[in-house]
Amino acid sequence: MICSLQLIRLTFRRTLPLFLAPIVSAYLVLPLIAAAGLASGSWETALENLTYGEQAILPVGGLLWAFAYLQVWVDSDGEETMRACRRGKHVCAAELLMLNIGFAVMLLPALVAGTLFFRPLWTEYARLIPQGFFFTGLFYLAAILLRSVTMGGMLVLVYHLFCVFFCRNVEMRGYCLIRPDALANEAAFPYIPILLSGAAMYLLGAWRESRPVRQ
Amino acid sequence: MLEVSHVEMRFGQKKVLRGVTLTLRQGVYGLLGPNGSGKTTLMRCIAGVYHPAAGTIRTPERIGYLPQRFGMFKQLTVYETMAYFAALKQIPARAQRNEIMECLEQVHLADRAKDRMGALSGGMVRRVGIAQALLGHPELILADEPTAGLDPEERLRFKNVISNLRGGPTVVLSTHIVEDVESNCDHIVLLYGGTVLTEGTADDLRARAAGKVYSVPADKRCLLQQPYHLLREEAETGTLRVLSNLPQPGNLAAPTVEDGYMLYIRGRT
Amino acid sequence: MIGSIRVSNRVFYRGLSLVLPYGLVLAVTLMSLIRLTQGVLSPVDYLTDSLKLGEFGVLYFALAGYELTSMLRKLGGQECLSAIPGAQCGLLFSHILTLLPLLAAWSAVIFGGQAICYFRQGLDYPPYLLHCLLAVILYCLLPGLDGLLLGACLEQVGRPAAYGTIMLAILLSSSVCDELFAGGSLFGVSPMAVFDWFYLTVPNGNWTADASYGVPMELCRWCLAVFWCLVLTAVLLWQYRRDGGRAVSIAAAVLLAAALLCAARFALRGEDDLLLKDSRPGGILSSEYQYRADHPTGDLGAADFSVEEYDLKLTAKGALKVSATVKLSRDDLREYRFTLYHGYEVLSVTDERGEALSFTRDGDFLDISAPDGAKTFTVHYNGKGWKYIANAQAITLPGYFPYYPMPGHLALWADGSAQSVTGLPPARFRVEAATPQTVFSNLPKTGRNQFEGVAETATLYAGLIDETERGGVSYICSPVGREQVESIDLERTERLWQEWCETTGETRTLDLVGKKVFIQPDTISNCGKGDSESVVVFDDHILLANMNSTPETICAYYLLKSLPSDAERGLLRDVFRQDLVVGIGNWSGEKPDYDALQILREYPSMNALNEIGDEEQWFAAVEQYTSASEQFHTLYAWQCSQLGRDTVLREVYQYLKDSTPCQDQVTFLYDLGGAC
Repeated sequence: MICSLQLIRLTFRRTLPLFLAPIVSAYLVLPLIAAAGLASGSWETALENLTYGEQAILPVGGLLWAFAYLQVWVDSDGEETMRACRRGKHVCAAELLMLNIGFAVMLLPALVAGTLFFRPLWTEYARLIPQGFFFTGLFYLAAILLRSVTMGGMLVLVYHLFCVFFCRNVEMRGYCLIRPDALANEAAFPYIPILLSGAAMYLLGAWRESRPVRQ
Repeated sequence: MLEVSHVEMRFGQKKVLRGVTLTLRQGVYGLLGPNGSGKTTLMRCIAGVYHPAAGTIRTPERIGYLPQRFGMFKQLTVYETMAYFAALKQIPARAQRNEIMECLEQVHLADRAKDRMGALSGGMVRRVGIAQALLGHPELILADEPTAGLDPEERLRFKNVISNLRGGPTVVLSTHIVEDVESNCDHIVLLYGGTVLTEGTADDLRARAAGKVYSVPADKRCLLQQPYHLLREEAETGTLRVLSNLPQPGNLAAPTVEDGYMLYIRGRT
Repeated sequence: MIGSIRVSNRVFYRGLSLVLPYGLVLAVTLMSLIRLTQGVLSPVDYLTDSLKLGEFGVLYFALAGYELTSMLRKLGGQECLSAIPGAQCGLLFSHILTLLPLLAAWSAVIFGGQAICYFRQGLDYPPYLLHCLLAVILYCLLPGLDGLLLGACLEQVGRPAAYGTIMLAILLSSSVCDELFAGGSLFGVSPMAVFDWFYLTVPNGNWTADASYGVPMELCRWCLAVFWCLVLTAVLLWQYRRDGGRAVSIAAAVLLAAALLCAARFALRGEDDLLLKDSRPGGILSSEYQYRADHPTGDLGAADFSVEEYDLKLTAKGALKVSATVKLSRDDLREYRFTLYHGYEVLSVTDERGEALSFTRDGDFLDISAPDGAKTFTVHYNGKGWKYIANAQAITLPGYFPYYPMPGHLALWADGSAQSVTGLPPARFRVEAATPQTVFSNLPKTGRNQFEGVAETATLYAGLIDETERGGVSYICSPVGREQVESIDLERTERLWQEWCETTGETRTLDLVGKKVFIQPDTISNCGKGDSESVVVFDDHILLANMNSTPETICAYYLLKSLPSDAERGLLRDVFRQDLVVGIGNWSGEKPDYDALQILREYPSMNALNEIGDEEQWFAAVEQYTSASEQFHTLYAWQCSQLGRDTVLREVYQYLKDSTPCQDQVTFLYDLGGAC
């Protein structure tokens, strides 16, 4: 575990902007958005804007951490050497899970501050965590199967954009996991299926990664 | 003919080339020097990859360049890669096929022409690099660490390739492997710290070290007189090969190019 | 170059790492287009929704552009190419040329979706197809190209930084920033002043498409897309100037100069009349409200003169420019009072001799001083008309809106909504409109975009508009709108009006037969529309701003038009309107409790709840208000069951007509029929 944390730390040392981007989003951009909504004189506007912002930015923000870590193990020049150090048995799932947990922990102070100054945001938090878990799992599985973080990332980003732009369309809404247009308690969110799907993708990805490469 | 006149190159505050002046005519030249002496930078300046901060470089029109690190698109076949370089070098389309196969023959890859670059080993990719440098009958061939990654058999073949080029283009081989220079090159240019230490032949380097190389029994190590430089320990014979201006307790040994090289380098440190 | 193109094509198509994602993007595009066609969408709604797919193009082509151009550098082959003059430059542009057909194909798929929707709905309006084509180019092809060029510019950058930059570019170029920041301002400056420079894809997810206007495609938007293309290409050329030689440096400089011209034009967009339907301070959703809050209406009053002739020369390009020559009925006055919408800046006023006359502008009022009297004025003015847009893309100038000087000081705004100006004496109008669009008017046509005739006013429409005849009635409306106009039975409408007049005691007449019907654009309905604008009747034409124009809605809105539109009785007006149009029905259960309706007495409308400062209390109040509103509807239905619908209609109508009611709406409805 210590070794995993060290690996994560070393990865982020060289990809600092990617590490900082979700933090800046959560602690600077979202408060600005909420403040702008309050300045317009309406709690409703502030809440709508905040929901839109956190749904549009945070799930994909969490993906940046996974991307920064995984691209070293999948696409980089040193990938071969690193895997050889681990005798070909390294699986990134554990570190990605740690990143998910870290992301959730990172958001907690923002959540507490939002609850204190604004309103209880536990339901939004409870929605964000499975979304992030699902997206990371999907990204991990796609990147391992396709052996490319480009393809894995593109898959997830296309879906994310699809949700952001079509969540208001009656025909498409059913396909959207991300709902910037609705509060967590307004939009029926399938917590259990999403968590299970995310877990399944993690397991599949880990299994595939642990198998030796065959010509 | 290649003329390099007072060329300077710096990266930030660090001066990598300090007023290098060279005139290279026909023949095979070895650019020898330790790591960080500026060999690759000088090669890149000659190839036109870098633009020197000062000085001038006059080169022939047709240049073949093999960089230190060579790689091409994995999706292309060997033939397609060569065809691409042939097109870039403006070789007429009708003449391309023959030239490409000729160059591939020289590096013994003609039978792998249809294989994808991604399927080749590192050494084979390097050979493709050598082949593309030979395309177009260049008047100047620049090869930076040409034998890196080649097995002994391939190194021998490379030697033959260079031999076959004698009397044709000017060839400049940049390397820190003294054996390559000794076996392939007519002339040697010694580079150190961004400047040219000396130019000459292999014999010149050997002559420089004549009378200064000693073979000293290992048990007489304590009798060695400073200053000296330990070239190597030969465990099988139990002797030390030592370089020194002062007489040492041992026999004088026949100097090699490496000894001459070390004499120059040690003289600068 | 051909060799480079061949290499680039082979590298792209033989490697799955870029082809598969393209397939994915294409699949998602196709699936979305198909799914959208299954919904009940008007062509213009379909167009707006499908153009959102443009963002996928930015994403894919930016990433693909980056991966393809940086591939050789990662493999270590770049140095070899850099020794051959022009090789790197050639390969770079070959990569771009490899991706361009894919971009074109994907854009063509989106356009194909529009065409399918068009033919499926049996439309016969070719200008709309051209509109779709241009929209796809502006919102899909050009942003995709910008993404591609951005990816190529990032070629030397490491992957994490490149991907981060691309994701930031996607966020900035999409509607996300508009959704989040449009309504706010920082130190008096709207953030959109900055974000608009990156906003390349179709505006705003919340955008309700306007069928007459279509998708916004003003000149400044084209300039923005082209600006980024030019800038990014210039950056690319500059990066390879050593490799490409002097010609490349010159080309980069030329492109940069052209980009600056485009940037300058975009920077001047503040002068243009743009349909900005988001909540930014200058947008149509909030600007007029803010203006009216800051500038209360001045002294109203009828004119002591009338206008005999109007000669209007309009130019609608970036914004509206008008030269209005007004011939008056009398020339002995020293001051002439007019109303001209405040958004138009009066540049000069001259008399018939060409001499300048002094004038004052106070909000919507224009007062012209003529010490020696004058028979004819020529007023030069230009500007923007809020939701009554006039630019190269569309013109929406209904005759009840003072886009030309109307005699007297007239009220254009009351109780939070726009008011229509009617009842002016007829005049002779000569109108000439210089615009690329075909203009439709109530006036007889004398040439292309030229009209002349005697009428109360001149209504001018242009854009995605056509004139059709159904059931002997001439309709001027958008053929691609949400509501495909069915034949409105004007005779039945008149009969229904008679019935309602008998029930409610209304005395006005509603003569519709023989008049042209203008179905107003959605923007009129969606923004600041009060009852006054819903149905406007002139001698020769009618303007309808309803979503569903049926005899019931026309009569209901015309009935409500004359009522005061105070917020204190807004809820009762809504219920009354609902009963007229669809019927509230009867409620034979228990009468709702008066106490349950208390919140409606304290906060007569939903907007009034915004006075509540505490956030928790606000949420609680919203819940209570919603419940109380439902009870109010039930109370109305209960009264109908007790007193009869006709009685309720009459009593409520008389109450709503009263400008000084003695009871609040809740107490009135509760005690319906009781004395004050």
